[in-house]
Amino acid sequence: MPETDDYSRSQKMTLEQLLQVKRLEKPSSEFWLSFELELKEKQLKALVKPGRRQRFRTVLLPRLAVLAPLTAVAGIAALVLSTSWMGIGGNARLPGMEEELASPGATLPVLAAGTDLVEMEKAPTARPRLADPQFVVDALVPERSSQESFRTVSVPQTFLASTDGTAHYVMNVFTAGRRESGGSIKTSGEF
Amino acid sequence: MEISRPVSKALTTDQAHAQDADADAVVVQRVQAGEVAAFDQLILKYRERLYSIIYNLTSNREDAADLTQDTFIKAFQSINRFKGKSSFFTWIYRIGVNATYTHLRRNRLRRFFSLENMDQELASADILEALTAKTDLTREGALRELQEKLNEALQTLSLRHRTVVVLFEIEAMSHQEIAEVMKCSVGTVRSRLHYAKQQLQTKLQSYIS
Repeated sequence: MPETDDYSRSQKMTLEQLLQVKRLEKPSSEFWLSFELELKEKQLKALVKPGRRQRFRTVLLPRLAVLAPLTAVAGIAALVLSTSWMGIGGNARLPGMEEELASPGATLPVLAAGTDLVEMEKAPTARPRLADPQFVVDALVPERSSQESFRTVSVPQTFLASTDGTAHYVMNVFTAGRRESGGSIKTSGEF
Repeated sequence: MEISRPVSKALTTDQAHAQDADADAVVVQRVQAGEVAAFDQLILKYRERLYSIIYNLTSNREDAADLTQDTFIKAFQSINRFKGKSSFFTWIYRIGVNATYTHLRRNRLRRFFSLENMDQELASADILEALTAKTDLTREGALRELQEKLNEALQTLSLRHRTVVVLFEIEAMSHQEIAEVMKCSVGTVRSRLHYAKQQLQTKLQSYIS
């Protein structure tokens, strides 16, 4: 041990000398024998066990081949269902209106000309009906009677709108009350 | 032209390293070509140094053995990705150091010292005195005690500072080689080494003159 010979001269040493003592920590030959055996075992396991890429090819790809069409079918089905809900289900929210439209000769309640003439702020939920060229429009309508000086009170209402720009009031969504009056409204043209 | 002694020594070391790297490159090419058994040569050549680095970073023999084996397996599995831009030993040391970092970060809360605990802790003066003892048994005991103290001191350093000290002071690697292994600049290596040594000086004050 050449490093330790220095200690006889002086019992204290430099940091570098001290750290070199660590070089003397060497495993025995038995250690290397078992090390080699363990390493061989691990190498064999690594050779038998497929790598990430191979695992992807052999395990995940076949599963993806089955799952992908199933997912696509489920996605298309969901799309079809949601589209039909938009067309039928949306209108189903207005049962009274559906009955009226279904019965021949039924007259729609219309807004009286000049009264409650409203300007539609927005018609984000306009949905085209499949059977006739009319649209069901949900709109926020400013309520003039309760209008305050600094803010406008809007009421959500539903209209049946035609492509010519006229619309017929159907119901107040909150109170579900119908008005007998009718009239035309100016549409924002979003539908 | 006369070359001064340290310069000529450095040149010889560099030449030896270059020859070593060339020899390794040939073996690596053989492994890449499908001669799997050739990898055993590289294992035999580097296992002791790699184990030593990992052991000095972890201070745990079992973990060091496992990590060294895992490093060789990782290197073997990705040998085709080794393009020879750096030397093989730099590449495999980097794999080993990174594997050790991952392991130590995962087991941060575990305190480990594989060296058996002495029943009675000796004072630094006693250890140094015992190192000069005539009987081998006393000397070996003192040496182990000192190595344990050094392990404890090393463990107080951050991972990066510990790595620099281990690679430079214990493994005698150059600043440039350490910079390649740690993927940082030579300046960073120097400053880390300076800081780490300052820390160790404080920790091991009672042993240092």
